[in-house]
Amino acid sequence: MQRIVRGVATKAQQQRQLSAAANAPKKVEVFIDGKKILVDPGMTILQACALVGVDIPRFCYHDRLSIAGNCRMCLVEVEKSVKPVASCAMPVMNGMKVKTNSDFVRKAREGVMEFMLNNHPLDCPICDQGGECDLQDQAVAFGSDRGRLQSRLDGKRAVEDKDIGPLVKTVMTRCIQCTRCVRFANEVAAFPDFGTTGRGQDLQIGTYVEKFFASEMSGNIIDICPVGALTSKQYAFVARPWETRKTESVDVLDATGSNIVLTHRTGELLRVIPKINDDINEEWIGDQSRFAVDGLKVQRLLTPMIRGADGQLKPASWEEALFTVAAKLRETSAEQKAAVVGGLNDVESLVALKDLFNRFNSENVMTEEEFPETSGGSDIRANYIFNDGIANVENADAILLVGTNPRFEAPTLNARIRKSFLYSDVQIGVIGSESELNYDYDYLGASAKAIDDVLSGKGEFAKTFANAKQPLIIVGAQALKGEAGAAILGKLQQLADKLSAGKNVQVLNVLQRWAGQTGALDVGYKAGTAALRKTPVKFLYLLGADEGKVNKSNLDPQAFIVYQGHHGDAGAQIADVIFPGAAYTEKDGTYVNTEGRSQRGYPAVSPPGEARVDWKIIRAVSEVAGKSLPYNDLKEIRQRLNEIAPHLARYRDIEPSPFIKQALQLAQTSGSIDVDVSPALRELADYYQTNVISRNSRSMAQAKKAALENKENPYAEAPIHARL
Amino acid sequence: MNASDVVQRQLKEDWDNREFEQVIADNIKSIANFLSSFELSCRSKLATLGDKINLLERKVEFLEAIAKTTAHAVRTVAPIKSNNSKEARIAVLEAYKEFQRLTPKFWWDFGLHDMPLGVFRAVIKKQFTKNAHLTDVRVVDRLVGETHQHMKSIRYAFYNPDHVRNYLFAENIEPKPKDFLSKFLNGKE
Repeated sequence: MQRIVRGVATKAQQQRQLSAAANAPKKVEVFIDGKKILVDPGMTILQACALVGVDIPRFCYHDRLSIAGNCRMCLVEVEKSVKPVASCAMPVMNGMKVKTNSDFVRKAREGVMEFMLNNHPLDCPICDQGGECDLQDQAVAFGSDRGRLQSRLDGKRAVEDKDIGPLVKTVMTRCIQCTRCVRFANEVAAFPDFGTTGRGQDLQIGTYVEKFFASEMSGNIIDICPVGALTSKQYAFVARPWETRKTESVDVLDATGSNIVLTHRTGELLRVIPKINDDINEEWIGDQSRFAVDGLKVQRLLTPMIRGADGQLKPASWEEALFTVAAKLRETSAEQKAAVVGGLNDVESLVALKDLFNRFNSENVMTEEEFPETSGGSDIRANYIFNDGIANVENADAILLVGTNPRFEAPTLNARIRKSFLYSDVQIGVIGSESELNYDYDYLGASAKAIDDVLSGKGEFAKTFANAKQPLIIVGAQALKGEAGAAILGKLQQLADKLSAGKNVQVLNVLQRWAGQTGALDVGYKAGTAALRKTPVKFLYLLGADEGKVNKSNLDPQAFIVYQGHHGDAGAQIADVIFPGAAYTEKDGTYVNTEGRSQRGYPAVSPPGEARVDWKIIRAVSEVAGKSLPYNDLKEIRQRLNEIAPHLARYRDIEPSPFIKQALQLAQTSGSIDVDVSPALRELADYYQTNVISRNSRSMAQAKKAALENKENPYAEAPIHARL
Repeated sequence: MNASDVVQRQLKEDWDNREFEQVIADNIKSIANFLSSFELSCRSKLATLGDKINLLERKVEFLEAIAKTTAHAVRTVAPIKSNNSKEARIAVLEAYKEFQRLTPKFWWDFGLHDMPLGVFRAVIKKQFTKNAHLTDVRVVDRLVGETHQHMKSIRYAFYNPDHVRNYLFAENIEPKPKDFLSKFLNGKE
């Protein structure tokens, strides 16, 4: 494992600690353009200006990264100072008089801009950043209207492009050396191989030797790059920002429910970028959330299909498919019916499917993802959600990870752990696999038996954990399956109860792997497909269940299988009838993230071909089968959601789950927990293809290949693209 | 009595007369002043009175209007073309007669002989009678205007047979799906 050095706290961090230490920090009086304001000491001039609404132009400064102060664009005039001052790096002092728009400042900015443009290529027409480029905007706003450069006499600098993998395209000649990407790589993504060589105008950004940018967060350097030096390979030469429409939505490729913006044009989805949400994803998203959307154009189910007598699936009309399914649904007895849902579903379709099965006297609706049924199980909500909330991870002073690898299961959540690792002395313990996380941790073993040691205070980590003010247990949903899972959950509940006494924390947090799982359990789905194996069913309805947990051998030999979903994958393969559904970018949907926060996703494009919105398909089946569900439009089904669980309609809010004590009373605290709880995702190559969308994504496949190659031979002799 | 005394007395008389004259002039002036100020105050008072009366009159008018509207509960609007429903009715009948005179040519020119002329006349009549429930003069006027426009378009053959058939018999137009399932199957949901 690489050596990780804890960095010096950033200015903002120091200042936060300062303000936390002294209850009433003495405010400093500053005058900005003649306006007097009182600010905390240690704040920079730029931050103080932001408080009064004065926006200082900047390239290198970024809210969530450390301060570099090397672009000089943020120069301001400070009275009694001979030279202009870089406002992003200069702390405020009492009585400071700052001018942000004087002739002196304007001249300084113009000079900086001239130097910057001196070595910047004039390739805006073919640059992907065009239209959303900080340099373009600020050159217009603050630059000179003419240049003195005579490229005849002294040519522009040119830099060789770096190959950092199949996701990020580099055009290093455009780089203005703000080093935001370097700071991001070192601080957030923990990829220290990314750095600078040379100095002055010869400074170059890169990986020293050609190498894959081996990080699950690599896409974010595209967003933070103020110019077109780092752009998306997937989005290269695709569109200009003024031609596209933007739809703000929610990501479903991991369970954190990151907020995203879907960019689309003429009914075609072009790219995904993060939307700032300080409670969930700050302003980052994982590479899968960003790049896997090209999988939405591949292997889609476009028309209903029925398996013919020859065993082949043949395209059919909606009428045929609906009547076939409705007839089977009616003629099968209640106990021989079952429905299995996958992890990418919106709550609307889950509710419709459950209502449909309930109308036919069946409660046999279950999720593909396992969760203990005994020991309180999913009856108590506190058992399966991330009780303390994602944002609170930063406040923890001791974290125990059980059977999870947050780096690959929830990259944005992991970024918070990394942040608190860098800027506070949080102690982290891991039970599971000794995989490469981007922080130091105490490895407590692969077996869940290690929980017993922590519970009894054996070992060094157990002691720090017991004495922690804000302890936090994050347990992966994968570790909680079957009988052993119930026992592990019971043990962890005991531990959480012991640690939370007298503290304002719930301690026990479950990190789900699927965006639809919390919602499914909230509306009353049974977790896991164990029930299916006990009594063979004759009618199986798969709603986006593609993980291959159910196959023909689990069912009655004459079983009739309906698959509804958006991709032709494991589920569609065994189906007798296929209903083409909509993906998350194509429908209005409610998603509950692992914290229990309900969020609304919006459609950016319409479903392809004959595909329909999922809950409407189920509604149509119900009508053909003679038991119409009582909702016809989105408003009415949302009303139904509100009837079942009002928190589903309270968007953006976390619904806390108070019955954690009762959960402990129900918990099964005996039983063997000597099981291996190593998470399935252990190294970077495992991260890229974890669900049906990313399995069909070309760029994710390339990234996986690059990650595997990188593991074998981290220092490329041939350029990466040559090996792909 | 010597001459100087006479002069003295005459002078004194003259002074007295002058003084008297002055006093009278002053008095006349003060009377004039008083009269003018009196007039002014009278005028202003009359003016305020006039205003008050105006206001009262308006209030009375307003109250009367309210009383009237509550009694009728109908807002009468100035018609644009026909002044009353009788005129509108006459306009409709004129338009109808003109249309029926046009009908044989219409029937022939647009190739509508798959039905007898009598039936076609009934179809045209139905276009009029389907609006029999209308009472608003302006709406009736508008429809009459549109009818004249249709007749013009027919005469000059701006329409073609398909338009006419769609318009009169709603041929080739599928009704919009109304219930959930037909919307779903049509891809409208």
